[in-house]
Amino acid sequence: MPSIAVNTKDVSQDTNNLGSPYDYINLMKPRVMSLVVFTAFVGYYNAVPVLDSSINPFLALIGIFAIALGAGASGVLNQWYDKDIDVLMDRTKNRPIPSGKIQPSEALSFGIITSILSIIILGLSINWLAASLLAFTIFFYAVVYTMWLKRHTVQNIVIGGAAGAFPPIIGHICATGSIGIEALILFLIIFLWTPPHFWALALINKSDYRVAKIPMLPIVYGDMTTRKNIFIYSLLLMPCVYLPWILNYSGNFYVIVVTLLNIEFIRRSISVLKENKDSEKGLFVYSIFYLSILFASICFDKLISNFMIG
Amino acid sequence: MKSNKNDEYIKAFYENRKSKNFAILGIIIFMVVLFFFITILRMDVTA
Repeated sequence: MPSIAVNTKDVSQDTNNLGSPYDYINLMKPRVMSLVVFTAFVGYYNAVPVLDSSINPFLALIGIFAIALGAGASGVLNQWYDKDIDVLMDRTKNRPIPSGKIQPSEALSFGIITSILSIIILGLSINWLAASLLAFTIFFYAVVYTMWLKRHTVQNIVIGGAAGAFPPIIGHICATGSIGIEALILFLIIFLWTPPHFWALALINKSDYRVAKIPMLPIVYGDMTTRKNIFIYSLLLMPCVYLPWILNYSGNFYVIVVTLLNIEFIRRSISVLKENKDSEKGLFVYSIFYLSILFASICFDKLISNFMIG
Repeated sequence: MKSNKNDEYIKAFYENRKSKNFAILGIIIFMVVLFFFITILRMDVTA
């Protein structure tokens, strides 16, 4: 009778660490992926009418899929590298790697393979300029932000915010084959939106970041400096969101929506500055709503203008 | 007792590995179909 020489302990670890498809989906940070896909789509859709002949819609769908895959891949690489600090923080300790559902080596190979696949798919289906920027975005998030900035500088999320701001430019390149000023404006909006969003989160999870020794602004310079910086970046963001309207890329519908959104954003930033109870949580949640509605209104405005033109 | 536990681990290990292999096979088939469609659409054979 053939015998199978398997060490029980090793097998036990292996069986526990193969991970289910659900764990792999979680490893790709699906919520971040959805925001990346949405902003990339807006960058794409915003640029489409300037084309003489639009891209095949199926190829555009494949392109969006590739961007989603790339965003997921960078999330996987981020979680692989941060496994030592994720296990220390309440917010992240249940992620697939620190909870033992997926082995770090599995996550690393999964992250590398999906990164390469996403770049190849985007390059073959759309163009290689978009694929190059996707490759740079993955590198920027996984290496520049995760491995370098995050643990070494208080400006981590300010500079690292660029990684989250690239998708609309990728979307724009997918549609036009070049980088346009509309895409750079969308980049600027996300870039300036990121600090208030993440510093509000840092104020909420301050104790987590302290345990993990991550130099977030509230840990290094204290709460009040963070609150002031949130307010300053909110003030910087407010005029920038009018740029699409000033440069005639968006119409009156957009300007009405962003004015209303801005009023509430400033009100919540002032509330954070005044140290009102739960104001940080309120700003964090509202900032997600703010960006989603702002980008949706760009699309909707374009839809209205296309309809008017006929 | 120990032997039973060992058998369960081995059974679970092979079941997990089998489902993982099927998942990888599914991904490979998906990729083949995807690259086929990309090629066809890029060739613009419908035009």
